Amino acid sequence: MLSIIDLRVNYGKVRAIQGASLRVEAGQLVSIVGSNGAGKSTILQAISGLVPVSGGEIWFDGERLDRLPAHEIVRRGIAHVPEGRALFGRLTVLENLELGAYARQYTRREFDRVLEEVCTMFPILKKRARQKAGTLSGGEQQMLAIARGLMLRPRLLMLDEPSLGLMPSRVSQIFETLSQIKRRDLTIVLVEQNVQESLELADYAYVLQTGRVVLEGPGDVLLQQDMIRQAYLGM
Amino acid sequence: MDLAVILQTLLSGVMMGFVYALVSIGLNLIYGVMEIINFSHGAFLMLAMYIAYWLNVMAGTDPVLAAPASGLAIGLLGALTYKLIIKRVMKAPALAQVFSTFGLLVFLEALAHFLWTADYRTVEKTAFSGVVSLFGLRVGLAKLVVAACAILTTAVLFWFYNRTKTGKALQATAISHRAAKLMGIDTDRMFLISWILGGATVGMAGAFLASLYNIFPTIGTTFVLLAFAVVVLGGFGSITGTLYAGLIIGLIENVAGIFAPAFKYAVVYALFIGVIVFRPKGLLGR
Repeated sequence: MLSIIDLRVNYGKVRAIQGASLRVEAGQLVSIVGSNGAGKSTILQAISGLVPVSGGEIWFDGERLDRLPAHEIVRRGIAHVPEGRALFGRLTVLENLELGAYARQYTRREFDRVLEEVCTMFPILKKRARQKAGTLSGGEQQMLAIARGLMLRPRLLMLDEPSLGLMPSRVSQIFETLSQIKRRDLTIVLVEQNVQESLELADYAYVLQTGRVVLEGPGDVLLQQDMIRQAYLGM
Repeated sequence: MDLAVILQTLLSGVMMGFVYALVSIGLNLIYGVMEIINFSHGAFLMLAMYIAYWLNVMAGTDPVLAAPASGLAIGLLGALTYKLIIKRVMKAPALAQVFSTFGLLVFLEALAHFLWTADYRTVEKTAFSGVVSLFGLRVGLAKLVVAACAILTTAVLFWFYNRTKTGKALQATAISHRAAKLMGIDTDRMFLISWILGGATVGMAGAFLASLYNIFPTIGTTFVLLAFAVVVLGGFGSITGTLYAGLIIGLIENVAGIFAPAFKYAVVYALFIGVIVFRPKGLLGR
């Protein structure tokens, strides 16, 4: 479904991604793990067209993405929930959700149906519909960010550090939500610092170091690897 | 002081306030979406006044009725300004952006001097003349019609900005270009729309003002300075703040005009400096 071939991304003279290749099959949850600065977020930004690609190719369902502008990539059905959530804080929860559906030409009835589906998954958002997004708690904001991504009815959902900055109780709630989304056969790429939970959930995973893939395999297999246990799980 | 004079002044202030708000909204809309100040905004207003004037001279059209035509023409000028100038300097240093629109202001004023000389021109054939009674107060019909049209135009813009899908996309772009892109919003298109709307609103405001003021090549500067005061008071990036601030500036100008007519703009600009010093984000700015 998604194929990244020898991807290179530079920030000025800094080579953030140095020839990374990844594959994501339909219906899979693929995790990308690695330490700070390994290039995890940059890969997602390259897929969604937020950063220019210096070399390599990104293909999605037979179409080359790395030459398209960001808004066209969203129209192909790729939702990116970025690190820091990027909510529209001055707008209401409902307006944020409406914007999540911007790239889709839903009829009123379709929009209401998608909204209902999303709100069934995140009931708190229905209660907060008229509240400004910036006034929500951290956990609620993260739910809104994921819900806004789902309003696109994406074919590929990319989540960047969804548990970052949340209380432990909220973190487990977010992972519970992710496993619910996964059960719907949605294709997901997850970038997480929470390596244990991330690999437990993943069908397949990539470990990134200084812009290169250094290890890959099924999530449960990687969890048994000494390198992972020592470097990321402190065992 | 006579109560009728006070009420008359307040009414006049509110009416002009709506016009000032309409003059300023486009300036703030473009700033809100792109964080670029259009210094040529005053020249856009001046051109709109000339369009209304010439339509009046050649076709006898009342300036108020010429507003859709001048709105369309200046909206188009806004689009061309974005496509031919702004888009090319967007990634340039901020000073390049400042001087590009400032240069356009100078160019358009010089062009107006060349084409129409520095002579003052006045619209003579108006459909709305005389004085009417409103709640016992005497109001010039032309001013009343202009205020009503400014209110209507502002209301339509507010509806568009707050109720339509494109309006919401403009708001999203104003908050964060990056986040807007992630929603599938074509931010380049939003920038273009903000310049079209910015041009169209000041284009309509210019036609309205043409029936109240003399027209000459540097007339825009007078109003654009007021527009800067309105934008600063209302808050950079806040369309609602611009409306409130327009009303406040209109009232202050008119009330100060009773006590010291020659000093009224000094009062307005003292407030402008005060806001910059003590509350730089204005009433509702971000």
